[in-house]
Parts: sequence; C-alpha cells; structure tokens
Amino acid sequence: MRIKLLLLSILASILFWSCEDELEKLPLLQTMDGNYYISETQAFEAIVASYDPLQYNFSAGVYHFRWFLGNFTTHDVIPGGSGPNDQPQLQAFNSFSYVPSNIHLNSDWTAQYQGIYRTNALINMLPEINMNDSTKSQMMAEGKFLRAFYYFNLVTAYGGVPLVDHVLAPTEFQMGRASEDEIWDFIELNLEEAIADLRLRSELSYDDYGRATKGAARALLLKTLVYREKWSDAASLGEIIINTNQYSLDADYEDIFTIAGENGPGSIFEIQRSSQGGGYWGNVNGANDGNLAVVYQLPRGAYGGWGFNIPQQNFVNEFESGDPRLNASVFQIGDELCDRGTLSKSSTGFDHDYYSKKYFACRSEHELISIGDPVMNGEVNDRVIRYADVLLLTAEAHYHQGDESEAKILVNQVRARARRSASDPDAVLADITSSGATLLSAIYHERDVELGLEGEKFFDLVRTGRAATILADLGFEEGTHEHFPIPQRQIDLSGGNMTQNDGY
Amino acid sequence: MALGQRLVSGTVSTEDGGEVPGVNVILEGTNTGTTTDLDGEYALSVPEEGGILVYTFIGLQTQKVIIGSRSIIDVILAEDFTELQEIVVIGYGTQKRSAITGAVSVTTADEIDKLPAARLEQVLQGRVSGVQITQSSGSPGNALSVRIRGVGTPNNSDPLYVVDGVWFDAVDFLSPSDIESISVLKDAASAAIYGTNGANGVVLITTKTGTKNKKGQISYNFYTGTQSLPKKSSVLNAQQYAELMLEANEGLFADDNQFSVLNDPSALGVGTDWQDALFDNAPITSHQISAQGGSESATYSVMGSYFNQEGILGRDKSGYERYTFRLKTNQDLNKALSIGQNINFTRLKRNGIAENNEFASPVAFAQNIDPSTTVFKDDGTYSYSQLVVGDIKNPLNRIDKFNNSFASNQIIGNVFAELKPIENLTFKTSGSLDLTFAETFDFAQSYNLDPTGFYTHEQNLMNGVSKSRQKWTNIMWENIITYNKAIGNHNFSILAGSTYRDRSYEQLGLSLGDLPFNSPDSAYIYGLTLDMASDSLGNQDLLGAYEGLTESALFSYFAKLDYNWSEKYFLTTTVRRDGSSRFGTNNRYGIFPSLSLGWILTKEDFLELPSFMNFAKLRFSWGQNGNEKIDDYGFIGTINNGAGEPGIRYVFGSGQSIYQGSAATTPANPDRKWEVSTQTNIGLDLSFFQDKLQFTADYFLKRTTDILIRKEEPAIIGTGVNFIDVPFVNAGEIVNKGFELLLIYKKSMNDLSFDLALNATFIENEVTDLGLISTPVASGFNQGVGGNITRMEEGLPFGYFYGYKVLGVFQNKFEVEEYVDATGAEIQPNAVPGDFMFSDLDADGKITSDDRTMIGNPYPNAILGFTGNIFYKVFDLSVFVQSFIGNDIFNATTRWDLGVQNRPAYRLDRWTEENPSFTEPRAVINDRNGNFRVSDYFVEDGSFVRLKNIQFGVTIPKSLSKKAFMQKLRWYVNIQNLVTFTNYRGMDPEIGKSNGFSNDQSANLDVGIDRGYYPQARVFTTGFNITF
Repeated sequence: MRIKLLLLSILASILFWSCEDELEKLPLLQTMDGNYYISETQAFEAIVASYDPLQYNFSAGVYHFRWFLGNFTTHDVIPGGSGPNDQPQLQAFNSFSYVPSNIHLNSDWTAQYQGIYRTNALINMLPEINMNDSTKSQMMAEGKFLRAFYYFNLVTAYGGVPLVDHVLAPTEFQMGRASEDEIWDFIELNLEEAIADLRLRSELSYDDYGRATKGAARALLLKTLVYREKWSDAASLGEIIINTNQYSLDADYEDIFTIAGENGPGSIFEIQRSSQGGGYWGNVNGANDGNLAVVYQLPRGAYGGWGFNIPQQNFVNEFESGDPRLNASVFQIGDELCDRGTLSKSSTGFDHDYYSKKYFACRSEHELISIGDPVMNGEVNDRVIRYADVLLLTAEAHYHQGDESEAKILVNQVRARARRSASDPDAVLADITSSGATLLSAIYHERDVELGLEGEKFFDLVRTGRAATILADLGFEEGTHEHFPIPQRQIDLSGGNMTQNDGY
Repeated sequence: MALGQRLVSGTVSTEDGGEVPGVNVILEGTNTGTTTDLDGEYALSVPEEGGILVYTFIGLQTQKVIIGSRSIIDVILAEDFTELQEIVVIGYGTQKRSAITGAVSVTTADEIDKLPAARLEQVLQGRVSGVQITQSSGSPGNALSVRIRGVGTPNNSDPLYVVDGVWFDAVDFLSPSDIESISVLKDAASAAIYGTNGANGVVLITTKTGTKNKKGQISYNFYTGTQSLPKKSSVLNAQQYAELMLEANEGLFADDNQFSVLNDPSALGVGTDWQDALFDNAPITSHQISAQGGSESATYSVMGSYFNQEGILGRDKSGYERYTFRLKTNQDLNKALSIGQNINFTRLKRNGIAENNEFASPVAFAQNIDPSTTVFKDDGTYSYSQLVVGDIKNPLNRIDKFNNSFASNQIIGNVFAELKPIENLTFKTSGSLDLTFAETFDFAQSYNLDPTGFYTHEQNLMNGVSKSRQKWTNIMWENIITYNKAIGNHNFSILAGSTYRDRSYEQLGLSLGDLPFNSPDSAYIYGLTLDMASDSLGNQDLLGAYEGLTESALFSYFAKLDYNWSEKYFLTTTVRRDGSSRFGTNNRYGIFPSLSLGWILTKEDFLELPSFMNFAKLRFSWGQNGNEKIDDYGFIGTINNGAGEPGIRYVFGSGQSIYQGSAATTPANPDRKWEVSTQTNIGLDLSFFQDKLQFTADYFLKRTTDILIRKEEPAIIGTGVNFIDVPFVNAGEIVNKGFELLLIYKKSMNDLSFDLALNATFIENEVTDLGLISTPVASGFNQGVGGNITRMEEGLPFGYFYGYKVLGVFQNKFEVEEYVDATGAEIQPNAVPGDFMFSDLDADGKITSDDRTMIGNPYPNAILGFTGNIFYKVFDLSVFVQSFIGNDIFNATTRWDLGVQNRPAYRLDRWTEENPSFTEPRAVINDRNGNFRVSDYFVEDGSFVRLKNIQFGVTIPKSLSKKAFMQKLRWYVNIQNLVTFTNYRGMDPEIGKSNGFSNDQSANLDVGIDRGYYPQARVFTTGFNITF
C-alpha cells in the first residue's frame, strides 16, 4: 500500500506540474515598444518616421492632398475624375457642400496628427539618447520644424485644434481644442527654436537633401507671420532669408516642375518622393514613397490617369497674355505629353480643355519601375515652399509696412524670371509700377499665377479676406467656410470635448 | 461422447459479417455450455433429442435456437441496440447517452460512410441540429464554414476539433472514412471543460479502433465517378446582349466605335456560351482500406486512403489529392498498465482558382464577358473582348495562365499510458506532436492577348513566381486522473487534469519576377546573386523575401464531478483555469465554470407517465467558455522598424535614397483577454414505443461578451490610426438564441426496415453591443454595386445587408414629378421613366447615404436536415436532404458599374415603354439615377431544399460472397446534389462566408454575397464495400 501511495503522489505531482513560465511569449520578428531608442541609429529612424507622414496621400482609408483643400475650393479647377459621381465627397469641395463627415478631411486630419505624434516621440526621446550633441540638437530642431509644419497644415484648415505637444497617455486621449492663437503661438515658438539649430542649405551634404534647413524653418515662420498679419516681423524675416543668399529663382520657370528641377536653387522645402519604393495597393498606407498626385492629375483614358484637378478657363484667363508660366502650368489640347503622346479629347474620353502639369512626369521617368505598381509610385516631389513664394510674401509684408518700392522690387524679380523664357521677353510681363490697392492686387495676381495649382489659392483668398466675394458663387459663406469643419468622427471620438466650427 | 449425445457445431457472427469470439453457448435449462473460439466457431454435445441453445454476448441480442435435428447451426446475433445504452464520447471521457445532461449531438460511421465526402465538415453538414455548415465553394478540398449555435464573434468562430484527445483548429488531414464517431458539444456546459477553446463549440472525433477479442477484419471501399455542373447562371445570348446594349445606348453605335459590331443584333446569333466553354466534367476517385482487430490484451487499427478529385473548373487546376495513413494500437502490459499510440500521416495537395472576386473569378468573368466574343481567335489562341474591357477577362485564359497550389505533409503522433494503481482510479498521461509542413506555389505567366498593344486589359507583361514554406508545430501534454465510486445509490465520478499546449508557426517565402521560362513547370528561383538583392530594403529588383514566426502557449488545470442518484437524478459540474500567452499580462488567467442537471422522468413512479413513453429526461445546463482564437501578440505595443513590414520610410538625398524609420504603431493593451461565451441550455428527450420514436428538443441562449473589436481612438494620439494599427479591445456583445429539434422514427418488419430522422434548427442572432465603437462596422465591398454590403451594428443581426430600398420603377414622367418631399421638391430629379424609385427613409427630400437600411439577413431562420434509410432484403436506399430557409443572398455576380457587361437573363424583362415592368429598371449606360447602387433589388431569397445525397446499394448474399472469402460485398450507386429547389437565380444558393480560410473580421463579416463562387458539382459515383 505504501508503494501505491508513493506512486499516487508521483502522479499527483505530474498532474499539478506547472508550465506557467512558458506563457511568456513575445514577438520574435517585431520590436517591442519600450527601450528601443538608445543610439543615434534609432534617433535617425525616429527622424525618418517624423518625415514619413509628409508623404501620406492615403490615411484612414481614403486620399487626401493639400491641393484638395487649396484648389478644389476655387474657380481655378474642378475636381474632375470620371464625372460628378466620382468620389462625391471630393466633388463637394467645389461647391462648399462638404459636411463634417467628409472622409477626406478626416483623412487629412489623421495624417497631420500622425506626423505630430512622430515628432513628439522624437522630441521626447532625444534628450535620453547618448549621441553627438550637435547632431542631437539639429535633429531636435528638425523635429520642431516638422511639428510646426503639421500644425500649420491643421491651423490653416481647421482653426484651433487640440494642442498635442507630447506622447499622450490614455487619460489624455479625449482632448478639447486649443484656440487658433495658441496653435499659431506654438508654431512660432517651434520654428524659432528650430531656426537656431538647423543647418543652412549650403551646409547640407548631397545625402541630406530633403531635410529641413534653417531656410525652410524661416520660410515657414515667414508664412506664419504673414497669416497672422505680423507685417513688420514678416518683412524683416523675409529680408533675412533673401540676404542669407541660400536661394535663387530657377532660371526657367518651366524647369521647376520637371524631375530634373527637383531640389533646385529656388526650392526651400520639398516633400521627397521616389518611384523605387515598390509601393502597391496592399501597402498604400505607409510604405508608399511615391506621389499619388501624379496619377491623380494625369488625364484619363489612353493616358492611364484619373483626371482630377482639371484647370478651368478662369484659371487660364488669370495669366497675362504671353506669360510663359501658363504653358508650364497646364496642358492644352494638342500638347505633347512627353512620351505619353499628344493630348486629345477623344483619347481622354472627356471634354476637358486643360490638364494640370505641375505633377506630371514622363512615362520613362517612373512608370518603368521594376517593382510595385506605377500608379502608387509617382516620381514627383511636392514643391511645398519655393523662393518665389518667399519673395511674394515678403513683398506683401513690405506693402503693408508701407514700403511699396521694396514690394515692387521683389514682385518684379518674380516677373523678370518668368519673362525670361518668353519668346519675346520684352513684350510680356512688364514690371509692376502701380501703387496702393492696385499694387496689392498685382501682388495677389502674381501669387495666383506663380503658385497656381499648387494648393495655395484658397488659403490666400481666406487669409487676405477676399474669399467671401470671390468664392460666393461657388457657395462660400462668410463666417463658416473660412475653416473646414472638424471631422465629425474625431468630435465623436473626443467624447464631446471637441466642438465644431461655427456654421457646420 | 456420452450415450444419447451428439455434436452440434457452427459459427456465430454479427450482422456485418464478423465472427464473434467468446460467445456463451448454453443448452437451456442445463449447465452444459461452451464459448466460441477466435473464429467464432463452437462445438457442443447436446442430447440426441435436441433442445434449445441460448447464445449470449455483451452488446449483442441474446438468441435462442431450437436444435431440432440439425448438427450445424450458424447463428447471426443482432446488435443489442438500445440507443440509451449507447456510449457517447464527451469532453475527457464517455458517458451513457441516457446520462447526458448537456446538448451533445452524435454522428456515427454508419452515416459517415454513406456520403462520398472529401472533408469531415461535409459529413456533418445537415445531420446535426444547431450546427450551420455552409459550403460556399465547390472547389475540391476547400474549407466549409462551421458555426455551432450561431455566430458569436466577428473573430474566429470555428469550433475546436479534438481527434482522439488531440486538439486541432482544422481537420483537413482526416479522411472521413477513418472516423468512428463524431460528438458535437453544443452547450457551454459540455464544452466548458475546454475553457478558452470551447466558446465556438467542440467537435470530438474518435477514429476507428480495434476491439479486444475480435478477429481481424479488413475492409476495402472504393468509389469512382464523374462530376458536372448542376446549373448554369442564365445570361443573355449575343443577340439579346446587343439588343439591350443598343437600347441602353439609345440608338446605334457610331461606325468608328468598337461597339458598332452590335448594331445588327440578329447577325450575332446566340454567340458564345461562356459557361459551357468554362465548365467541364471531372473525375473523382477514392480508395480506402482499413483493418481492425484485437486479442485479449491488445487492439489495432490500420487505415489508409487515397482520394483524388479534379474540379469542374479547370480540371487539375482546381484539383485535390490526398493520401492518409493511420495506425492506432493499444496494449495492456499488465492488469494495471496499458500503453497506446496513434499515428497519422497525411499528404494533401489542393490547387486553386480565384473565386468570389469580381476582379479575378473566372466564374464571374463568364457571366460578364460579352457573348459576342469567341473563346479563341482564328489562330487558336485565346481571344479577348473588345467590348467588355478592363476588369473582365477571358475566363479560360485566366485559368490557363495562373497556377496556385497548397500542399501539406502532416504528421501527428500521440502516445499515451494508462495506469490503474488501485481500484476505480485511473491515471492517464498523453503526449502528442502535430507537425505540418506546407508549400505554397503561385505562378503567373506573362501573356499579351492583343499583340498590337491596343487592348491592354488582357496582358501580364512580366511573369512571376512566389513560393513559400510553412511549418506548424503543435505540442500537447495532458494528464488526467479519474476516480469512480458508488456508495449505495450514489454514483460519483471525479476527474482532474492538466493540459500544456505549445504552438508555433514559421514561414519563409520568396518571390521572383521576370523568369526566363514562362512556365510553372520551370519556375525555379535559382542562381541568385547579391546584385539582385542589393537594395538595403531587400526588395530591389524582382526578388522578394519574407519570413513569419509566431508562438503561443496554453497551460490549464481542469476538474469535473459527475454525480447521479440511482441513474435518475444527474449532476455534472466542471471548472477549468486557462492561462494563455495570447492574453495581456493583466489578464493572463481565466476561470470557466459549468453546471448541468438531468432528471429521468420515466424513473419516477409518482409521475405515472403513459406506458408507451419508455423514456423521458429533462436537462438543464449553464456554463461559460472563452475564445482564445485571437492573434498571438495583440496585447503588446510594437515598434514598426521595417523588419515585419516596410511601413515607415522616407526619401533623402540627391540620389533619392529610401531610408527605413521606426515608430510605435499599435498601442499596448495589457488588459486584453479572451472573449466570454455564457450559455444556458434546456433540453428534453423523449422516447416512445421502445425507442421506435425519439424526440429531442433544446432551447439555448448564448451570450458572447468581451468580444474583441477594433476600438478607434481619436486620431490625435497618432498611433493606431491607420486601419491595420487600430487596437483590439474587449468590448462587444452578441446574443444567439434558438431551438433545436430532432425526430427519429424507426420500424422494422420482416424483410423491410427503415429509419427516418429529421433535424431542425432555428437561430436568432443580434449584435447587442459594440462597446465604444461609434459607427457600425462595414464589410463586403463589391465593385459591381460600388459599396459595402454587410454590416455589424448594435441591435441588428451580425452581417446584415445594408442598402437602399427600392419602392418601384417610375412608369412615366408624371410619376417622377409626383415623387416629392414635404416642400414639393422632386426627390429624384435625375430620374427618368424606367428608373428605380428609392425610398427617402429620412425624409430629407434627397436620396442620400442616410436612406440606407437593413435589406437582408444572410443567415437562415431555419436549417433542416432529413435522412431516410430503407432496407429491403439485399437492397438498401438512403436519402439525405438539406435545407436552409429564410436566408438572403446578395447577388453580386454582375459588374453593373461597367454598363457594358453581359447581364443576367432576367434583364429581358426590363422596363420599356412597351413593357411597363415594376421590378426591372430600364437598360441604361449613362445611369444618372444610380439604379444599380446597393439596394434590395439585388437581394434574393436564398432558401433552398437540396437532395444532397441519394444512394442505392445491393449487398450480395453472404452465402455467395463467402465463396470468395468475403464477409460482405456491397455495390452501390450514389448521386450527390442531384436536384436543388430554390428561387435563387445564381448558380448555387449555398453562399456563406467569403473566404473559407481567412478569419479576419472583414472576411468573417463578408457573408451571403455571391461574387461568382466556384459552384458545387453534381457528383455521380459508383463503388463497392468489401469486408474480408
């Protein structure tokens, strides 16, 4: 009996033997959150991650581009596509009939905050990382520039938004909105800090092209000051950018938007794109290093594009007779589309007279990529801030400061460059000589054509108080449409802490 | 031999022909007797005047035979078949059927062997109440969806399969012929002992086992046959197509337009019948051999099978081939110790063709490509349509140019030892190893059907191959101790045990494009140099490589107490504590209890039940289970640094180099845990006329809570905002409730006997809570109607169809103008006569997305199964009918968005001024009214009654077969899917979940949409069963 008891106790111990330690199974191929960021290598990865959302054209399930907001809301273009039923929520921008549930706004919002999160993560972790101090402060400055950039996109579109300046804890997820001024102040503060530690463009190695520079931060700050109508600060900052001699206007306007013209002498900040990322439909969310704008704006039909952002006669009429920038901005019927053939209505299947040219690439430049779907891998950088923009903003600031002659000098610099590629330079784009309100109109006009189709128009109209009159026939209502609505989904998710903009 | 005695001898066998050793043969009223030897033979001295011999054997009916003057008496003993005494396999043990207190359905080999089925699920389909098994795809070897008592979660709803004690997620390694019995544990109490693996129900499978003291029997079963397409989808012929297109175009096509070929419809004739061209007859063959037997101390069972089925679509391109081998033995080493083993090896290969996909399914292409195009060009190469271009391809070319296959080698070994150290106490330890090695292969040939390059929709300019190797490892160790004790009328059985389960999955894959040879037979990835993979991301050039690796573990204790008083009152209670590596660190262990009660009314004298009622039992059970079938590491916050997926990158430098970044993407959720399913079951079993008529009814209420759903956080947090990164949290709730009925009637008269069984299931499903999710979850996108079709929303059934309601067809301009809102404004100003009138549900004067509502439910209200078996002399006939009642199908087989595609034949009834249809809108290309948006126009009644199987057999009389050393020889013919009664206008009304193999939420929510499935074949087979 005793031996049986022994046997029983052995069996019982087998039965209650424990494998609880074996329950700790952690991912083998993924890196866990926690103590990952320890060295400069990881700091650089965090930098890359902070830039990455700049490239997003597809977030929260749908497309978004800055030019949806800046172009579609004007007379310059119609959304296009296959017709009024193609992406109706996009078409709505053209008639100010978008509603808070508009999915493209939610998409835009989501991408900007993803960028903000990445920069916050970088800025939070950098002080803990053991690395070269000057590299560290420069990376910190890049983070602040990018954070300001994402907030700039938000504040100009939505007004006051939640001010997130650190990685949020779960208790902070449902945040309310800060005021528009608080966001603007935050942008200014970040840019001022960034300017101190960023490199000049001339200090960048070729490998660093595309990274934020002192000039980029100054230019964004200039824009911020102009939006806030701080004319005096804007005028002097503009002069600093000009006098630092880092930038010049590209010799030929048409070259700016070619592949060869990327990161050219007049480029202050560009979103870098590559067709070699191998993006395809399955990974459109994050891995896409190419520019979807290319296929979006390419004519439909035989040209294989989706035919959006269709320039209207209104836009064409903006150009003074013989302004070579027109042909650099739009394709007209009969134009050669590089190696894509001659543009004809029958080949597109649509009755449009014009197509946008600023996101165009020849087929040979990106469609013969070896991997991925060409559609997803457009090889065209987004020209975000150009030197001409800085000159015109500075001119505007001088004008408001009462320095009309300085204003005219700067505007005429822009005109002179444009004139240069005309067949008869002496016959076109004469220097601006007017003054007063006429001069201001001339500066506005110059922006409209110089920066046409680049997503600035709507924001310029709102900023300068002209939107209510100019856009009235499209449906713009003063007091409402200066801001886009806060995405309804985000208001719902905020547990009622966020309030909607007036009028929606 | 004593005086006045003589010798009588003979053989005792059973109805299935096996000789029975150990039968007691006694001369009635004496002590004279003997037992049969291993061959079932006996010899006995009896008085000259004879007498009566009594043959007795446990499990067989006692028989008395008058000796008379005979000297050789062969006896066949019938099975002592009172079903209430039948032993049923339940969780961690067996139980007499009369003692069961939960809801358990049993299917045995008799039923299983009658259906020529490739997979276990096909065997169970329609036979078990409470279980909905849907075979959406007729592609040979494809998975079926199995839902026990409704859909309780948008995540994995598949049951746990337990084969001879070893756990599996899927059982495609099993040859149905290996199965002895299947028990389906439906209520939570029966399944609660499986804890976090029991929420979706448990299917217990016992394979054929040898019997002690039984002479070996070898049986060989063979069948072969042919499969064909039962029903085409009716579409327009070329002339009808042209007429409709001209009408839609509102006139002739311009001469320089490619559609001008349609301008003279009558010249086109009937054109090409693409479905005739696409489908083919295909063979099916099965061989199966098995041997079982046993000595006094050991048993064995050896089984082998070969199964080969080609597809009616693409023949071998969708073929399925399987080899299985199983060896199962058990040896008593001494009185206290026995040891056993069970080894299974399966090799299977399944080729696949895209289906249920409007962009790739040849079945969909055949219904959409224009019938005026021929299959082949004059030169014999594949043709292409110049009218329906873009997504629609020549379906035969599509099949020809693509290859897809999955092949696996699965080895399952199980060793166990059982020790009985003292009376009534058993200790069993069992270890198993289940290894699966799989290979996938995909090849796309390069081709260009239009060499001029003008039409580019039928080209693939670069060929490519993708190959991967997978390995699944599943290790289990289980220890169980049981103790039985009876004290007076009190009967106890106690069980305690522990389980350890460790699983891992590994995958390694390569893909390469632009191969030198454009053939799947020479698609080798070889000769790679570093140059080809020079890019820092590893995916430069044409080479791709990927790896997958996951692990999980489960560790549990469990216990069970069975008690009954005098086999009249029953009580069972179980508890299981599960720890799983898949649960968050704050919720690693879950406890799952159950209680069930039974009361045999017929044993109560005071109730005075009528005498024709020989058995009545009431059952009640309550229990909780969990669902552990969630992803392995979902609770951990991870850094995406490009190792797993190339998500975070940016471009720097004048050379535009791509750099890899890293960031946290999914927030951690240490609270994440199992989904909980709580279920109450009330059941009643009645038997009348000595079991001739049996009736079982069950009512259940199953509430699944803490369902893992993606909880969207505000975008301002910056992580978890892209769709794939939104974290899962335990939030939702789904309720299923229903009735199950089973009715059996049996009768036998002289040469004729028959049995009939009818089962019925009625289930109601409702999503009762989506937690913090603010909006309904949508799935089931279809390009043809341009939107999502299915939804999960609070207060409505899981996966219901969501869309616009059609009120009718505008008959004239007046009706369009009359359809106004409260202010008098036209609700559909773009409509013209012949267009649909849509319901303006929110009465805002416009037809907007807010006017969508529930327009259908893909799940049936009732599931019915009927089985009938008739035996007359040597003939037998069995019939099996399966039926779904009340389910809806969203018919999405037509690409309405294209406008130029071929159309279903019912479009011949379209509205025209001469034919004022109230249900079919006009033919239109430039559709400004959006007639073909997601609406109830596409929702059809999917109810069907299907003669799933009919079999007629002849058994050669034993006197004849024995001459060829056969115990039994039976020949039969069988027809599967002979006829289906349905109003559904598509090919096959059996439409369930979209993808049988995927278990992500969007796939599970994509139910009841027909985008062109591989239809089930009608199968004619003939075969024979031989037993030696």
